[in-house]
Amino acid sequence: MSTNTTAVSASTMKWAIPERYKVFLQQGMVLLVVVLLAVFFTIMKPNFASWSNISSLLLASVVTGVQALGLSFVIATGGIDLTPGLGMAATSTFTAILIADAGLRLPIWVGILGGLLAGALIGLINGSLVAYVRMQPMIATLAMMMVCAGTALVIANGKTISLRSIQGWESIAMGQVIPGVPNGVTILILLAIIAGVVMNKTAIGRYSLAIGSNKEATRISGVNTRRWEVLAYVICGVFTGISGILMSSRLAAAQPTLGQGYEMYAIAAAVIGGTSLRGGRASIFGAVIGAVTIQTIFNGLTVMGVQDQWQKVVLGVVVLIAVFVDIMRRGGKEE
Amino acid sequence: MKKFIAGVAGATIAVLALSACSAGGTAATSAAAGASSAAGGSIKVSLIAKGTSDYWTLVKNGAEAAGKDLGVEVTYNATDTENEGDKQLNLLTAAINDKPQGVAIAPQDGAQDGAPTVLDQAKAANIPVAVFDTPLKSWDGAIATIASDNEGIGAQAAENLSKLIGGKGKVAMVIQGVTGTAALRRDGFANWMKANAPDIQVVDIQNGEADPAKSRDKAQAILQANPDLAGFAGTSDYSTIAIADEVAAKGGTVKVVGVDASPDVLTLLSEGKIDGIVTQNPYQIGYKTVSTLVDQVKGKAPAEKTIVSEAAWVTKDNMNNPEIKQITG
Repeated sequence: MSTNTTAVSASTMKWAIPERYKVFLQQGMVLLVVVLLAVFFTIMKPNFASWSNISSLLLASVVTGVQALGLSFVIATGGIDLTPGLGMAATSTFTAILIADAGLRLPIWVGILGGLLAGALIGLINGSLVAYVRMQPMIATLAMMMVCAGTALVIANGKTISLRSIQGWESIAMGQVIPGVPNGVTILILLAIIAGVVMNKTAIGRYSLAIGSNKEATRISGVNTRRWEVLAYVICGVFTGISGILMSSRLAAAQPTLGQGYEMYAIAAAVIGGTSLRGGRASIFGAVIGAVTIQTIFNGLTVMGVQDQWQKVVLGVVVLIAVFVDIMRRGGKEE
Repeated sequence: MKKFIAGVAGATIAVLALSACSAGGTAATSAAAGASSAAGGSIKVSLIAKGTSDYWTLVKNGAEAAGKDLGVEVTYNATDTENEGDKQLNLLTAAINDKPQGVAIAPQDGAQDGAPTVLDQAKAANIPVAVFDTPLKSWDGAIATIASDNEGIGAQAAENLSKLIGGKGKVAMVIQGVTGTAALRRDGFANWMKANAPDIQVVDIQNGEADPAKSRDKAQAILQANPDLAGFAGTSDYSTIAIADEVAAKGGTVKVVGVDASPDVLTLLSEGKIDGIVTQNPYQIGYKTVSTLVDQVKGKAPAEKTIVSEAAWVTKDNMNNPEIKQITG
């Protein structure tokens, strides 16, 4: 069981920095790492710092960023959700089949709504399995991940569904309402603001964190923990649905096999950003910066001419470092 | 607090050191090219492929060899799998942002529809675009598409099988599917026979579904039904291996030809159980992609929009020649 971080750290920390400043410190550190990486890549390859490269780097962060935002709620409860990756495959193919020429040819808004509802449904099933059936989150969402992978292939009949002919679909993520900034990036920022408010200012955010800190205490204090836990998974599912819409817009197509491993990027983004997998602590700002860190590594190494396989190795090392830094932050002891 | 800062500093250094090391793998190419490109006017081309299998390693080898021969810098990057359409678009965008003199892509399924928007940016920046290995469906701005001619591969197999059996007798095929590449090779084979070998009769064509066991069942059934079969052709490595194994098990004099030089196929070839194979030339695809782009940069546009990478005919006698080794890996 995880304990209440605030209580423990206040009494046993050697250096008495108030918890709320430490949160800023942690986030400042993450930002510092991104800046250091950016400086390094710019020295190696000055082209890295061109705006066209930075904006494509940010665009590449969008899908992982959106998924990490949703995941933050589940991770805050002390749970985990493995469905964002292949859930995205399922929701994007579902969206596509609603609107594509090869599908039902419905209006765009039906597709968007369908994608969000499909995501919410995945989250509802995940949350119910975890909160009411009392399955371990890892197992329940692993099974759902497989269901999603198969469903995507069934919906799409194994083929990539082209959305190129759908007027306006590609501009959801690729258009530029703000000149020079792809809409996907703008959407990510707006979603991050919304998620930040929900996490810090509303009941669902506070209860998610409380459940993650100490589920039993939260329940005893009269909170219907099961209902709030389900809601956290539903939020995660809706964000998965959004990521599916953005991905299919980016590709102008829905690829049913695309998504495997993307949940790992989302988890990595949250962890790099300072969210604790033990629950009780989440950082919305950190999740976005974490996603940007991942793409900074991918993009910078690509610009440097480093192969894809090596990029994944470097990312893995960065995740390990992030966890290590987190342990150091707490004075070298396990929570 | 000190520990904390030390941890972060150490961590950052570790990451940077690691990335610098991993960049070492490609630094050799860039350095070599850098030296020669000073003379050639510092041309840089960028290739984005879609896989990391043996086949793609050969494409890469060809591209890098062309870079060396022509004195240009070649950067080559690829997604690990063919299920990362967005990743491939990211690689493509990064390549274009690097402002090379030419860019080429082997589009994977998921990137087919998203690529045009990115490639339009390349065109707007006056960067010529070539497509290699796999045609790009919904964009016609490429200077050329460099790929294998699968119908030609089928025809080449037919022509060589006809020679092997003296231009007459019964032949059959086991194919690996009924769409795409398999269908093109099948048609190329059947059409060549119809047009050029009046005394050869194609008695049966069966689909082994790219499954080794099913392919053997089909090959076995065809041999049972046609004891006087003179020649037998496969259209992929699995179908060719299945045919060779069944023919060897029966112990007849049936001539066996196939397509694609996987290690198992090459072993059967050296044992004499396969008489010859037509193999795609990924090395040449990589080489020609780079040379086509470089020609374009130097003001010589490709004569044709479609550049065929010729397939090679590999037999027991020539399989150890250096130029064949280069193709088969």
